[in-house]
Amino acid sequence: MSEYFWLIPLFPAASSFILVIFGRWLPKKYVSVQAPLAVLLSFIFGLASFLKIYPRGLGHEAAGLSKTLFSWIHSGSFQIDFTFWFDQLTAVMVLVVSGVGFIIHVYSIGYMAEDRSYTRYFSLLNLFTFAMLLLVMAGNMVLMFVGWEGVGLCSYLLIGFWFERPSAASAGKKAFIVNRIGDAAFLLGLFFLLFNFKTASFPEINRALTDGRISSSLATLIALLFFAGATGKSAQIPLYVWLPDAMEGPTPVSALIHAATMVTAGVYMVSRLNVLYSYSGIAAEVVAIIGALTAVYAGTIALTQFDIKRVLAYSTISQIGYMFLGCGVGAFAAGMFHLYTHAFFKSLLFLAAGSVMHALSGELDMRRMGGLKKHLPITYSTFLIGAITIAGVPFFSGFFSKDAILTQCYAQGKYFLWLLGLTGAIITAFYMFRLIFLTFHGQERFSAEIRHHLHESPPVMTIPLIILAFFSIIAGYIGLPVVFGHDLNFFERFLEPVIIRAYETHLSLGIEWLLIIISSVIAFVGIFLAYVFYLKSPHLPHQLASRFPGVYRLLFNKYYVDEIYNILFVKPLVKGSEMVYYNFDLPIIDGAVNGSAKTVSFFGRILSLVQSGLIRDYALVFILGVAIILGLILF
Amino acid sequence: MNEFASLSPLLILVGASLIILLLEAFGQWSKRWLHSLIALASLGGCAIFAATFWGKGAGYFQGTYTLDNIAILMTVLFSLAGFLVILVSLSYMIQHGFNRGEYFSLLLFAVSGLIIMTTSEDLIVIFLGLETLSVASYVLAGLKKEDEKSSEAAIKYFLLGSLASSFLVLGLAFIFIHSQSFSLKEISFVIDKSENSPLFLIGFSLVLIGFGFKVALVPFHMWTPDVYQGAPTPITAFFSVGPKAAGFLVLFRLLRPFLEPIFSRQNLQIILWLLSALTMIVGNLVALRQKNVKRLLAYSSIAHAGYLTIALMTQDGQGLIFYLLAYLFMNIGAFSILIALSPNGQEFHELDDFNGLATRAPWLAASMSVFLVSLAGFPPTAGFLAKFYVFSTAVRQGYTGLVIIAVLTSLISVFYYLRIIVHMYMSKQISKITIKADDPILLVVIFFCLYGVLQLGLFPGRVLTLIQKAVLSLPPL
Repeated sequence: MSEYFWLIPLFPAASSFILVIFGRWLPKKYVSVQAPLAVLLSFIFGLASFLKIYPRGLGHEAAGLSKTLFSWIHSGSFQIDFTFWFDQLTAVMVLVVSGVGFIIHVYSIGYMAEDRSYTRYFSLLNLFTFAMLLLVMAGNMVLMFVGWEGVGLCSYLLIGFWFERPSAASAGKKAFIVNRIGDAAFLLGLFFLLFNFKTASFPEINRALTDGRISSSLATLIALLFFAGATGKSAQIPLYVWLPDAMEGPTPVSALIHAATMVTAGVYMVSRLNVLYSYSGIAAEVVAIIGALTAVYAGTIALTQFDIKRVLAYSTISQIGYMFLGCGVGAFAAGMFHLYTHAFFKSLLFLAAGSVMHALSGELDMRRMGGLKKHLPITYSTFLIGAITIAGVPFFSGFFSKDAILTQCYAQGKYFLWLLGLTGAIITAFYMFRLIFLTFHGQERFSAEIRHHLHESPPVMTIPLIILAFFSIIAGYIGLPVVFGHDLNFFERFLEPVIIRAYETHLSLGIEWLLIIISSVIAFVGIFLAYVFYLKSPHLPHQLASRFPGVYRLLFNKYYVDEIYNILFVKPLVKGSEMVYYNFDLPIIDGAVNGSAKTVSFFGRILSLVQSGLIRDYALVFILGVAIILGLILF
Repeated sequence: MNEFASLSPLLILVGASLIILLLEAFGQWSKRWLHSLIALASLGGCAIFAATFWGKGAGYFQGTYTLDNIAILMTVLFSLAGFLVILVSLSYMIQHGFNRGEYFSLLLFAVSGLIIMTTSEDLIVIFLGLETLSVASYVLAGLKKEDEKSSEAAIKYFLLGSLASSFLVLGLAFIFIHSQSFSLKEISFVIDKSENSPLFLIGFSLVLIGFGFKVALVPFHMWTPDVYQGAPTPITAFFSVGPKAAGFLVLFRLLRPFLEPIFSRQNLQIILWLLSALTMIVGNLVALRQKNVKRLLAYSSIAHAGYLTIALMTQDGQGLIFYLLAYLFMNIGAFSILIALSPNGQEFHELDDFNGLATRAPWLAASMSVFLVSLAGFPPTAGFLAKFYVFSTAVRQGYTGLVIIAVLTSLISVFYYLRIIVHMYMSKQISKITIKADDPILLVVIFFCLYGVLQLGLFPGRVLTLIQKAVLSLPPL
């Protein structure tokens, strides 16, 4: 089966195609089967291919499956093939994308059941899965860019899925435009890469770098441009602003695209190019610093938000910051590990939030929730597991992955980054449990009518929650830290053939233990603070807010970044284009175009007058033509 | 024996049309499935038999009959055109009251006329083919006897066609006086040696005018809009593809030996240049004013004749044949859509009849858009590549001025092609006319043409190599 690994992205593509073309005539039941089934098939083929390369992976062989479907761009010695590539790194991504994707497809059956555009939803979700699989299975940078743009397009279409709502439409636009900025940088990087490396395929890029043909300043430039692209797609400072607004889309979309998969594409890209980023110290440094700053910065905003999905959105931004932090300090495997655990617990949190919304008729504001614990037992318990995992409580998956990153920071002597990471961790624990306490504990703050409709979600929604909760707990055990014994980090060893080891850890076991204990304590402190603030003495947040009104307002308004961007970029741009439109386009361009159109049309009218319909006129023109030609010939 | 075997493509067609005539004379038929089957089979057989001579390229009957690779390619092209035209007319002829067997015979005669024209290097045989085609065409144009416009088209076509033929014959006579031969080879032999003779030049330009009439070069184009509009739509589709292709191929063969010696001394280059420029300008400008899509396509076909003339001047055989092939798919496709808009003896071909077609028949509208976009010359369609090849060769040979005119007029053409799309997709009112979108044969033809347009536009490689082989197999000058 593994020799057919290149079919993996094609299943959802075919399904999406069928839904787009014939969707109008297909019954809902059929759609609900076909769409998830296509993703399941991808998962099964992905699993088979994974099993094929797994034993080889542990043997330190850089081996991958590769299949060239056709030569895509061919010009002289320069060639770009349409190549699918399946190595250890791809395997992780394919399993995450198709596995979590499948669960979310199933969940969507319940969540979207009442929607008018059911088929359109699934065709887009399938299309997204295709584009994402294309992105992770691309054998070269150019093909990856196709997937990169494809997921961006699907993201835009799905954020604006309920395009009748102006807020959704403009959120989609915002995501698209902000991503364009990043993509422009990405494209620029791609041009530099193609121009200097003369190739786009990953093995050859690595070879060019290890041969030392490329100067380090050039590598830095390319790496930074690609990372600028990643800050757009993966919502990092300064291009993160679109992700919170992207929550206008259906919640399963937020879970799949804006938490588990698409937004982590940047992390995958950086890991894929780990040789490049290790080659350029400055670029790695920038990645690490941006990641760490984003982790803390987004966390602080999450502290004051009341919209349940926005809290989760800022939390996603912050967690992706951790992944970049890991990649930046050379722990690419740890970054990927966090990506993998994050996919489970963050999609779990989103789906559980979706379940809450479902129960409360679409309510998003935590100030109008509370006490839901007894009404929604399954949602509550799964949500709690998700929160515990993300908060970094020991022995849950999030703990292992986050700890791997932080340990690496410390081991590299980057104490400042390590401290930032710890700060982020305490903030994470705090805002997650603030969310839990406000939503599920305390007194009920919703209206009687909503209370009347209150109901736990159907099994098609709760079973995915339970599955994801299960994986949130156990997913971390394939990557245990060294203190529990050598060679227990299967994840890192699996990835070893494709990720170069840029570092050696020289930490004694005692320090490793100390770091683990510090992280654990941090998590519990965060949770305890949230307990004090939101359950024990709920008046405290208000007191604090009124004591430091400036800080509170700054955080509540998200550092005014949207407003600043608006004044700095959007307004001048709009003003400028209006000026050009009224002063140049209308009078000069349009004038010229309309003028020439009128002239042309005038001559057309003159000429068509000759076409009288009378044979004698026709013959006259004919004879005139003959006369002119003979005249030209003879004289 | 081999000589007669080489005639097999023609014999099949003529034989089939005679059989159909006999069937019609001695039988009572309400439906004519048998006739159409015989006609389709003979066209298929004609193409297959012609193809068996691929690569054997030789002259037969003392060089009056030349079945070289180009002729084979054109024979296949004409058979394909005839085949598609018969398919689209099957239900049209019943609904529009010319349900008679002679229709098939006439069409087969016309196709054999086309084949005769392109498979000869003897001027008198070429003229014979032209007349076979013309006589059949005059009748075909007037098949809708009850329709005034159709009869008017037939008369106009006949009168003006006779005028053109008379000039052609006069030209042939002049050429014969000068060189004592009708064979192109021998004539070129004579010309090479003699000084420029006004007698020959006059003859040659009159022949040029005769064929210029057939392919609708301005100012010999006046018949085109009236005949195209009046004739039954499938016949119009045939006129726009078949005679044009044959005419250009004959001109290509005609100019091949004489271009260099004459160009170096005379004004023939200027004449062709003027004809091409005028044709492009007048065709495109007048098309702008048309409100009837069928008539608009007539002007569009005039404009395309202008672009094709550029390929004649550059002697770009490959570009010419590729263009003709692309033109076949996009034009038969577009006319098939018009046939879908001609239910029960009526023809709804005004621009307003296209209003909102996209919501009523999305597949038809989408296909029509592809055909129009291809006619306008946008990638990734066949029309784009066809123009691209012709224009780029012309630029390489130094005809920059002409190419600038061609590109500018193409730009104008975008307006009237896209206007139809605007009517189909963006019009607020929706016209209420009945659409015949349920005829499966018609849909198959439309999809086939769609496939052709996209295949040639996206992956032209194989067809191009085939054409290249054919052109390279021509004897060197």
